[in-house]
Amino acid sequence: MLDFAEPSGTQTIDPRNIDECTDAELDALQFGVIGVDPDGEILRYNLFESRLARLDRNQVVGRNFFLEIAPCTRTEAFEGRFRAFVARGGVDVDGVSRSERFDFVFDFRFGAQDVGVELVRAGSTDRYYLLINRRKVAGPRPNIPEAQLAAAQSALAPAESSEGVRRDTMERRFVDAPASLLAALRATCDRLAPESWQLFSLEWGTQWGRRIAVDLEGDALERRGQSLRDLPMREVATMVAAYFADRGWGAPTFELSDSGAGLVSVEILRSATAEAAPKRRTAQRPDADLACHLIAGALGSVLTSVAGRRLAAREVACVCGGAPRCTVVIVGHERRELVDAALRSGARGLAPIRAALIGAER
Amino acid sequence: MTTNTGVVPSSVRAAGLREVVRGASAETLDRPAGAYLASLRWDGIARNPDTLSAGDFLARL
Repeated sequence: MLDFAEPSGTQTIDPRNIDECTDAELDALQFGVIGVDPDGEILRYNLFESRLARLDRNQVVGRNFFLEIAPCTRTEAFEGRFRAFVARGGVDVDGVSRSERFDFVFDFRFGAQDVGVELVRAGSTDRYYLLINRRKVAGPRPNIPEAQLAAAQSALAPAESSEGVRRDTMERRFVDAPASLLAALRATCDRLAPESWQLFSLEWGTQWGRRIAVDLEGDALERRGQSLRDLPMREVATMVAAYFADRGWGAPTFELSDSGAGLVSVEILRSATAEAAPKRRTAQRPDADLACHLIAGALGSVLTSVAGRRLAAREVACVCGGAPRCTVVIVGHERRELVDAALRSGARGLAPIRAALIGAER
Repeated sequence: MTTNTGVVPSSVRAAGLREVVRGASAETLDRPAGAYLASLRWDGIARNPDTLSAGDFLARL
C-alpha cells in the first residue's frame, strides 16, 4: 500500500552549530565547509567544497589544509588570520564574536575563485570550520607560482585510474553502472522490503537530489557566474533535465501550465527505474504500478533547493503500470498528504491528482 | 590527469534533448528560476472564500 511517511526535508544551518551537523547535512549546503584542527589538519570536507575545488574528500581528509591542499592560503591574510583566531580561543580580533570573516582569492590550476571566508570555532572544542562562499569563479590568474596553486586531484592520488577509480571532467568519482543494477535493486527491495521500498526509494532520491543541486549550483557558478536560482527558469529546467538525460535516467519534461495552482508536473520519457521494474500489478501489490520514486524524490529535492521552499514530489503514473508516460507531481510540502491520499485511493495520472488537490481546496 | 570518459556537466549536452519545459510563456521562462518558483502558490489557493483574491474567486466559479 502506498503510504509515504516523512522523507527528510530542508534544514537551515546556524554556522555556530555547524559541528553538530551530520555529513549528509553538510553535503546539502551550497557553500564550502572545511573542518580543521588547530594545526589545519582537515577533519571534515563537504560536497560543495569538494565539487568547487575538484578534490575528492577521501584524499583530502587527514591532510593539512595550508601545507598540502591550499598552499595559496599560506599568507598572513589567510593562514595568519586563522592562527591568530585559534590563539585567541576562537573569537574575533575584538574579542566579541565567535566568528571572523574576510575575503580571499583561491588559485586553482583550473581557475581563480573569489570567496568570502568565515572562521568559526565549534563550541568549546578544538575544531574550527572554514565556511567558504564562492562569489566569483573565473579563469586562472596569470603569474601565480606553481607552488602556490591549490592541489589537483591527480596529484593527491596519481595512480588511481589503475586502482579502478574513474572520474568525470570535474574530478567527481563515478561508477558506470548498467541498468540491470536497478532491476537487481528493485528485486531486492521487493523481496526484503515489500512494504517500505517506496519510502526507501523516495528518501534515497531526496538525498540524491540534494547532491544534484550542489552539482548544478557548481555548474551554474562555473559556467554562468551566477547562482542556479538567478538563472532563467528555461535554463534551469534545461540543466535539470539534461542532468538526468545525460546520465541515462530518461528525459524529463517540466509542465508548468498548472503552476498558478501550485502544481508542477514532470513527465519522464523512458525512465530507467520504470523500465527496470516488473510489469505486474496484483491484488496483493496494487502499488506495484509506480516505480519512479527515486527520480521523483531527486526532482523534488532539486526544485526545493531552487525554490528555497520545502516541496514534495510523488509519482502519479508510470509506464510500468501501463501509463503512456511516467508522471511526477511536485506540490508544496503541506499538500503532500492530499496526493498520498489520492494515490492510496487508486487515483493515477495527472488529472485525478489535480482534481484531488483543487477539490480539497474548494 | 585521470580525467576521462564522456560524462560531462549537464549544461553542455542539453541541446540534445527534445523538449524540457511546456505550459509557460517565454516571459515566464525568462524569469530567474528562484524567484519564479518561490512565487508559486505551493500551498494551494486559500480554502476560505473570504481570503481569496478577486481573481482567484472568479477563477473558481
